[in-house]
Amino acid sequence: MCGIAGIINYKDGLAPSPGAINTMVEAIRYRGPDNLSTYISQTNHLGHARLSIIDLKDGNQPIYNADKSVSVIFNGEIFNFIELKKELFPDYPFYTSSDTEVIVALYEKFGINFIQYLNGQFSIALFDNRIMKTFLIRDRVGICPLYYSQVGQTIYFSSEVKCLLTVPEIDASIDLASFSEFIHLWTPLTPNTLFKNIFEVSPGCYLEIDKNGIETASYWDFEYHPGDLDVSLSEAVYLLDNLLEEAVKIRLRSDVAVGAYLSGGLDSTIILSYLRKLDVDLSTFSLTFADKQYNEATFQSDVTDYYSTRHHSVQADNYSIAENFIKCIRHTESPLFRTSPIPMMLLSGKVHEEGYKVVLTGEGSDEIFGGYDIFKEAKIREFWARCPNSTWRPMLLKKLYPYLDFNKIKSTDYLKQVFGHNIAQTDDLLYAYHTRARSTSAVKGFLTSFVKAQINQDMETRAREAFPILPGQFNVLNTSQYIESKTIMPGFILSLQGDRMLMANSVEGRYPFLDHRIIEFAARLRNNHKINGLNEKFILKKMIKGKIPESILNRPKQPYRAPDINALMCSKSNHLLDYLSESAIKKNEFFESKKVNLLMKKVLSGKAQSVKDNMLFTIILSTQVWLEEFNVYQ
Amino acid sequence: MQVLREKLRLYILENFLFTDDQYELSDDDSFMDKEIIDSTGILEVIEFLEDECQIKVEDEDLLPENLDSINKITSFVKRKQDG
Repeated sequence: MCGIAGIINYKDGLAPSPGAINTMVEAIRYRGPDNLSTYISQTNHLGHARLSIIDLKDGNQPIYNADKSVSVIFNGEIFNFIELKKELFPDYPFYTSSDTEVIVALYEKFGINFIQYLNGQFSIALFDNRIMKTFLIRDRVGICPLYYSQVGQTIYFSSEVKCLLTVPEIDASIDLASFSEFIHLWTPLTPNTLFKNIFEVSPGCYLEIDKNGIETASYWDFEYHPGDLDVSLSEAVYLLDNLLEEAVKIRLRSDVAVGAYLSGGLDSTIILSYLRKLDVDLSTFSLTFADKQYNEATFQSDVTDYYSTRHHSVQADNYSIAENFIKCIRHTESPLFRTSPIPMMLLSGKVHEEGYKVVLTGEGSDEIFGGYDIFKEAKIREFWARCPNSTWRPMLLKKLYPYLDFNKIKSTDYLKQVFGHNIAQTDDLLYAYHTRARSTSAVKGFLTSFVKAQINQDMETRAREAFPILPGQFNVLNTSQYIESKTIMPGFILSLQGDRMLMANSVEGRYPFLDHRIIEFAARLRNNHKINGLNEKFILKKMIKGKIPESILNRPKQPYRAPDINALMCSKSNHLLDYLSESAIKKNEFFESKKVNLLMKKVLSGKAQSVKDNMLFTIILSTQVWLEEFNVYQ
Repeated sequence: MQVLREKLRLYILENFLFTDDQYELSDDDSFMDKEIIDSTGILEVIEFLEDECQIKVEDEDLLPENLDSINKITSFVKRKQDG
């Protein structure tokens, strides 16, 4: 991965001063510490911070076509560049051996439709001086970030928001509609961001920019055709096995060493099994936690012993989480609803320290193969809705949430209240999110009346405006997969907890499960090959049985989490709590100080232990830090 | 029971609604319908009752008709104490 930035003005042109583009790209130097380059023309100013991974010598950007009429700067990787060069361009005069140059060649041959040929993760800025157009293109699922803002006739773009905020004309005012989406859905709905005048290029989309302005187009989206792949389970397993091996194999293309993250769960272990099969020198990196309820070290050891990897681990404790909280928010450029990104930043620090620039990691599997509890919860709620008076159907929830003391709760009335909200509305896009949204959105009660008045509570309508799917178009599982893959996956898992935490230490993550061929394959599987009964990722387990330690195959799924309140109360001299002082709260006029004081009282008494309390505290504290760090105003 | 009622009201206001505004909660407001207390929150309320009232809340007592509003709780505690 790298960092890119640019300024475009096809209408009036740009002053020939490199000052602004230099400042923009310097702000994200950590994304690409190996080389910094800028390019200035009458209409485009470009900046590129390079993390050298492929073609270490000649890969500096921009990369051009033969007559220099087409140029490209690019963040990410095109994993199938070797096949593309061989199959489509046997005689093309490539002047580098980088993957970037194939983008230029493809564009010359196919125009903007070239994107369909790419297998990779990318944010691309492609400039065609013959027709005075720029294309800003983002990968299918949103692994690589790409932001933009328009001031008059000038368009600015970059890998991170902080580059755009170096431009004096771009202000850091908050978009309260997006904040509303954040507290309900855990992320704003693209193209909006938490900053009013700053937007994202949505995953699977590109912008076409010329003297008339900006046009957005979509080139790819998640689609579901369950059962369309009419094969037996064993045939499906065979096909998936081949696809995954190929997805891992092309993600090993690199001129520097590639390591692998190991959580101790199924997905990262599956990736390791392919690395072993491909005879790759195995270096693994894991997080451990001082607090044993979050620690997966035993399972990690099972895997490292099984594969004899060269293993590295880093321990996250309360103190390290608290001390890195502010740094984390500088990188996420967003408030947080949990602290879980912070240990991921410590982990990428370890990767960097050990001299690695690239890691393979297992994200995406849960979204693609139905791994999350929220999918099973939706399945049970739908099953329950068919017979609302049943007493045993809701008891299936006990299998999902053993920490909820269902044995104690004799009446289903409590379950109905918690999980039964809008239970019959199975056509809702947000059907699976009814329960979760009610928990997070409790933060609304803490907002000042001015802010609260602008908070939109009808998320179902917002979701329908944002996503081009119709009520009932997909079944409940596939709708939930769609929403998860379009919201939290790009908005949190791959960005705040992914790209930002990796890039903070100049490390690139690669995601075999998010190879689009695997996504499209899984979309055609029967749904009971994904969740069989309540057995999640059924086909993956069938496929990998006998090839990984039994303890990993049989372990209950443990969502990745980190301590929140218990950690955040451990900052040196309690300096984090200064952000929650009465004067700090009143200064920002975002939260009601009386309410925050009462939450603090509960926290200090040690009684704030529920999931909801932890989330409230983390959102309020991180929002206060975010408002201060980015000088955000209403 | 009036003392318990007031203590309980203050506890719910401060710990679940994070307010001292008495008007935000009436004695008959359903904790579940108004989304004041979730399934884990009810366990916190039980801990409060067991500490404050020296009663033991048994598994079979965990019913909304005993625990879903200030009035329901005070009646429940009275029945327990009258035993």
